[in-house]
Amino acid sequence: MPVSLRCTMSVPSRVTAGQPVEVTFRLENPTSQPVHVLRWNTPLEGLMGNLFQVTRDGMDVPYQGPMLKRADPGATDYTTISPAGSAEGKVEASLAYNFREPGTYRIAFRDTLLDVAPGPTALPRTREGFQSQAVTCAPVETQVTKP
Amino acid sequence: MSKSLRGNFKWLVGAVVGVSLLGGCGAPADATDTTPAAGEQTTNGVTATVALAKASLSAREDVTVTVTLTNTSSQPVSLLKWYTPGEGLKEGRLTVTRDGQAVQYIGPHFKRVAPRPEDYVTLAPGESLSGPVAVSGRYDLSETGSYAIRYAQEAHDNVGGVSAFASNEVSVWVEGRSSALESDRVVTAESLSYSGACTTSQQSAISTAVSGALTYSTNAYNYLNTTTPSGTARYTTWFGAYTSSGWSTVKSHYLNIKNAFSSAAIVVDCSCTDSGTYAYVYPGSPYKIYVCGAFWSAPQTGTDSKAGTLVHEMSHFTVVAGTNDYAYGQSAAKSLAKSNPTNARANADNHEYFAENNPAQN
Repeated sequence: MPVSLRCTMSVPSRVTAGQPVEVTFRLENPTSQPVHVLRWNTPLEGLMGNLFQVTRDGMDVPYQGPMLKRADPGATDYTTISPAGSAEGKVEASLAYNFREPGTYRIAFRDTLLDVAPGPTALPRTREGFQSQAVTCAPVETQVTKP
Repeated sequence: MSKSLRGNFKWLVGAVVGVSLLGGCGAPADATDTTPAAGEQTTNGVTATVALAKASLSAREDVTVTVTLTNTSSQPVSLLKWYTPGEGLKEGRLTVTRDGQAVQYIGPHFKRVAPRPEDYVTLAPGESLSGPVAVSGRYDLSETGSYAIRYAQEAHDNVGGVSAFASNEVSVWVEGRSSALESDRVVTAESLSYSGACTTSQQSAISTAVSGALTYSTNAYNYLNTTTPSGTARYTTWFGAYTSSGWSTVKSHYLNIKNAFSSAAIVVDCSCTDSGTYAYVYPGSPYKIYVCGAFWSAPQTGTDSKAGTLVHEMSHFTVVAGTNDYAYGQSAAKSLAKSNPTNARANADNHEYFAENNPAQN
């Protein structure tokens, strides 16, 4: 049974070209049960995959960071979010997407949590047991200006 | 420059194999045909020359000319970078003909804003600017023949009184690209090297895995190429509801994957030891594949095998198939095929599992 998690993102509204572009990603658990979220391919883990769809003035900005093929996860790959609690991750997006050109950048999370497990679930699960779940995070925008 | 995205995917392999040929980026000193008979000089004093390193090129070789622009006047001249060789040149300013017939420009076109001051490069009196300009990938070289190439700028390409000028013409015999790349290639020894202190036994396992990946991707391509396109069990399991465009997309992916395994200069790195990861790549850095701890315990073939992992990784490279990781594992990959075929066709594991075809389906 899907757990409804709430997702929000934020980014500075203006960034000088060449400076870090820090994206904050936050998952909230509005339910009365703890929930376990696999951190893979979310900012809770870092920037370890093509997590975001990034555009500059409508043009795709390609991902340049690593892409991993993973084996089954360990229990430590999950973050437990307590009832009414939240989990937050920050990534420096310009490490893997080119933000050096001035323009308006739109950053959208690719809306899938690869495995979400309600409180009593025994962890970890194998990949074959994953229950993925979509979350909707409103995309954020930042203006990159010339130095 | 050989790593830059090509206008046309089909020429990927030609581009890759051309690297050694173009190792010097066509520096004029390396060119055997430097004969650049002085280009036609114009009143504004800019001379253009075109040089070519070889007089004939097989379908596997990239075609690039070296364009040199020289200010032969006593005044500085400003040229728009958009149309000068080097990083800026992104649009066709070459005139290419084959046996006297105009050859179509098939490269990208850019919608431009009005030029800004920083979009100009200034050449002092006597100064030259030189750089490679791609012909393959930008012009239709599908037919075999004698191609003549010249470089020209029109008067409206620049401001400030630089009038139109054109270079000398060079001729080159080019083997047509279409036949050679589409046909089933005889499998040749791939170019494989190692970094990150791979042991001898690791090198041996990698070499076997690369052969296995070539077999997998060749078989996947042949299946898609010879089966009448339809909603077969094998296709729909991994790529979702049948559409003819979806089938073509996937087929082109495996064509690129198998060509890369047969001809690209692949580097496999053994420095990663993480047991939770099979392998990783940087999608913009073909063809370097980092294998990690889980790779060594994987079977040679079969589900999540060494050979399949290499297919997965190869599919990530932007110049190959540009896949993402939307889902991991057979179960999630099958669900993705049902719920979102578009993403399934852009997901690396779906490509791996289709190629591994385990358990086998028709």
